[in-house]
Amino acid sequence: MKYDVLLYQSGLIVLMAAVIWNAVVIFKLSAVIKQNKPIWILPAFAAVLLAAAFCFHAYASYSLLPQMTELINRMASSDVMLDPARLGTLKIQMAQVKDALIWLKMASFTAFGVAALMLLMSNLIYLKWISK
Amino acid sequence: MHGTMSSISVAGMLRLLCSFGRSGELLIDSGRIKGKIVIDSGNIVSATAERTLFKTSGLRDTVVQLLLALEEGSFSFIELAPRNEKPSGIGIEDVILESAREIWKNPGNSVNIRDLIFPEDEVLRTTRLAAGREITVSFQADEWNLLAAFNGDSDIGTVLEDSGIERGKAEIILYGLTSAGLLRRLRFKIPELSKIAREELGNIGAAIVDSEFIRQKFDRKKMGMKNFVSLLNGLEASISEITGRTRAKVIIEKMWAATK
Amino acid sequence: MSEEAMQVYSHIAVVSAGVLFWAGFMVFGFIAGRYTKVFNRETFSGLLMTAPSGILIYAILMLLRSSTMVKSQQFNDGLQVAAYVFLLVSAVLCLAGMIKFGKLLDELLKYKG
Repeated sequence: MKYDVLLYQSGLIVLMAAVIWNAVVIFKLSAVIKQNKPIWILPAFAAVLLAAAFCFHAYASYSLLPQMTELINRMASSDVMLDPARLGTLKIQMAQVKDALIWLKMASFTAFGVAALMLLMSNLIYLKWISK
Repeated sequence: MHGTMSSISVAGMLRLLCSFGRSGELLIDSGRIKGKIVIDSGNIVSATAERTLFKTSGLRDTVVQLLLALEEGSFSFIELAPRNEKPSGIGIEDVILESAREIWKNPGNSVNIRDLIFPEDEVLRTTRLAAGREITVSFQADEWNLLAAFNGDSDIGTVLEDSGIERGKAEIILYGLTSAGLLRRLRFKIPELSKIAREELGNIGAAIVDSEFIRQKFDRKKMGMKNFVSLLNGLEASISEITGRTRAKVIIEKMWAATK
Repeated sequence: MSEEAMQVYSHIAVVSAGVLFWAGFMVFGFIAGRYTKVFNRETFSGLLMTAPSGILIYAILMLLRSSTMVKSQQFNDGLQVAAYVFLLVSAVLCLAGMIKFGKLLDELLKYKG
């Protein structure tokens, strides 16, 4: 299902654009209240993290998953099924790809989470500034 | 004591000398008008004129004519010992108002009295008389109505505009009322709020001020003290929303400081 | 780290991210709301405060998909698509709110009176 991958990736890109806009707006708002602390860097970095999450997801979707599909297909062939040595090698390769997928998923969601935390922090700091 | 007519009017100086109960001769020379007014213990006792704009008849008229010396010139006061002379009965406030009427009646001889009245953003109110003091003044309707309109709320520009009196005449009446000491200046004027807000917050500050004017439906050219206080309260709330209470207070304090 | 631990971590991370994004945009919506109040101008502050809910729903659906409660692969796929749709729609609305507020801010910063 390629379209759901596109949906997710489009969501990430649009979210990244919203976060970049947030950084720009926070930069301008800080200038209004003459605050020199550059909290706009937080959402700017959040956008970078979202870009990283996008790259992780894209690499998993367009490189590792096809690789995994290929390995599964090869494993299903009768030649491999009857050859324990090749089966073992394939199993090791599949385990490596699976590990990479899980690591990427973890890294992607971590980047997603840290980006969210940074966005929240910058907006909270600004709100605190204008509430005292 | 010596002074020039560009810094204070002769009428204003005469009133001050009278109110402080001084004795002596006030010598006036503005070129076209020259003469002296003698006061004793704060009362006008005599006056002589060498040159006046119009023929004079009697003491009151002479004083009125001498007080028309509003052009460039000088005056000096020679202090003398009190002689306990009989007061002429001329009320200084009354004679000053009469001299202002003369300016209005003879526009060809009038001079620019704008330099002698307060700026338009100042706020005036009727003077309180000290206990035991009595004054006798004859008012014309416009003079009384204008005096009554200065209630310490609106600025001069607003009062003059709302008075319904022709502007030039209203300014001359105001000159008379302030020179006679019937109006006093409050330590308050409407400051340029947008300018202060812009200095503090940039263009957004001016936008906040304009939004508050729209919200409170005030005409910034006809704003009284009550409106101004309400506006500042609204501005404090608005600026607090944008910058926080601490900074808003600093800005509002600057606005208050500018009223003094 | 075991595979199971990594999966659990991922689930916690995605749910936390959803909640934090939701809260982050909510706070920004609150800031924008102040501008609406002061200038009596539309800033989409309400949108900025509600739109991030989609990201929260995305996180919940992703968690549900990964749970052992759902056995059907078809239902799982459906959940994933729904989660992604919520994420996309929410992100688009957040961006729209941001752009709207950014435009108002630019207008105010150039205000000449």
